[in-house]
Amino acid sequence: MKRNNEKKLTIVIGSSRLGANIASYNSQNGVYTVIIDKNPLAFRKLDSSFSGYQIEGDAENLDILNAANIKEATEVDVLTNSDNTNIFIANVVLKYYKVPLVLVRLMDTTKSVFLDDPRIRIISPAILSFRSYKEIITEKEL
Amino acid sequence: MKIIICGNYSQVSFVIRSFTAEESNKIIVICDSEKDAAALSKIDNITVFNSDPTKIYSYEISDVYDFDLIVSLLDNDANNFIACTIAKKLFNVKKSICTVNNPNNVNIFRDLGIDSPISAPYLLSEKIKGESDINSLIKTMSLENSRIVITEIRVKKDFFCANKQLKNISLPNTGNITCIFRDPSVLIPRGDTSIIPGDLLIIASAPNDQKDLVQYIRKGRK
Repeated sequence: MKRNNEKKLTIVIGSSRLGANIASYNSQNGVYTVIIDKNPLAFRKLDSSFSGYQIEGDAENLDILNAANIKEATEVDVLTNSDNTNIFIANVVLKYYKVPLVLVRLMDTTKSVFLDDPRIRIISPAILSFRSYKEIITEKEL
Repeated sequence: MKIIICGNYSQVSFVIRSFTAEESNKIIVICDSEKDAAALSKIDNITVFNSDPTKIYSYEISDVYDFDLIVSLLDNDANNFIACTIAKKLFNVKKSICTVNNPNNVNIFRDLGIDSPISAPYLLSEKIKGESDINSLIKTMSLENSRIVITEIRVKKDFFCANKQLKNISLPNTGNITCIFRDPSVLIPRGDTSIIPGDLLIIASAPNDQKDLVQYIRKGRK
């Protein structure tokens, strides 16, 4: 089902492989997308079709989040390679902004207790990988 | 007091001096560098765990439930936030103090439940504000995360309060003269205590009232 992407603003924090793919996907689907990373070289992972904004800076800084127009954001995806950074940024976003959906990448799922809010959705590479493993094994056995 | 300290050798070995003097303190150090943990374990009266202070299991193995204080001195702000949050939320540690590298994060940390975030540039800027707001004969210090300020002011002969009894000064009720230093004595002020030039007044107030109180001590009502 095609999403209605008018007036959507997604902010992606961390231009990791996952972050760059999500930002590229949203941009291709007509979602206004801003991607933030401390390292400008990380933006090379974006698809050539990406037409959103790139902001070089530390998303732990409110000035950077404001520069990304976070007050208007409909979705913030916190996807840096550090769980601790992701939890901190997600807590800042929840505390100061009324963003309706905050996705957080978390390797160590025991730390999900620090993200206890209905606006939070956790993406866990460990759980997703394990799910894939089970699917592969099940297919093989059939 | 039962205290957890997180950090590497240079920071922890310096800070720990404040706590080891009191023998009844129980001190647990969590340090993720094996080399630093080995060096720290040579210090008397502390227990050192070589583990990652941003992992929940580090607090489980060091058995710090219900401790009084966590002091987190890690290099990264997010790591300090996580260490303090694990200790407070999951292990019921009563108070958290941590260093903050980005001074803009001081107020954010407070809003997120860290009791005392400390940033050198932030403290420096508060100190400069304290020095420049009023004038050089006044010294200030802050308590309880800057919610209380203690102001020292040396009385000059042209001050409004000079040679008056406290009860006749009608000091605004936004602050109080808590102590008077009249070399070599320390006086606890009462209504009939007179203030004389050369006295050092120690005044406690909220930060927003400090300027008006000092103005009143010097010049009376506007």
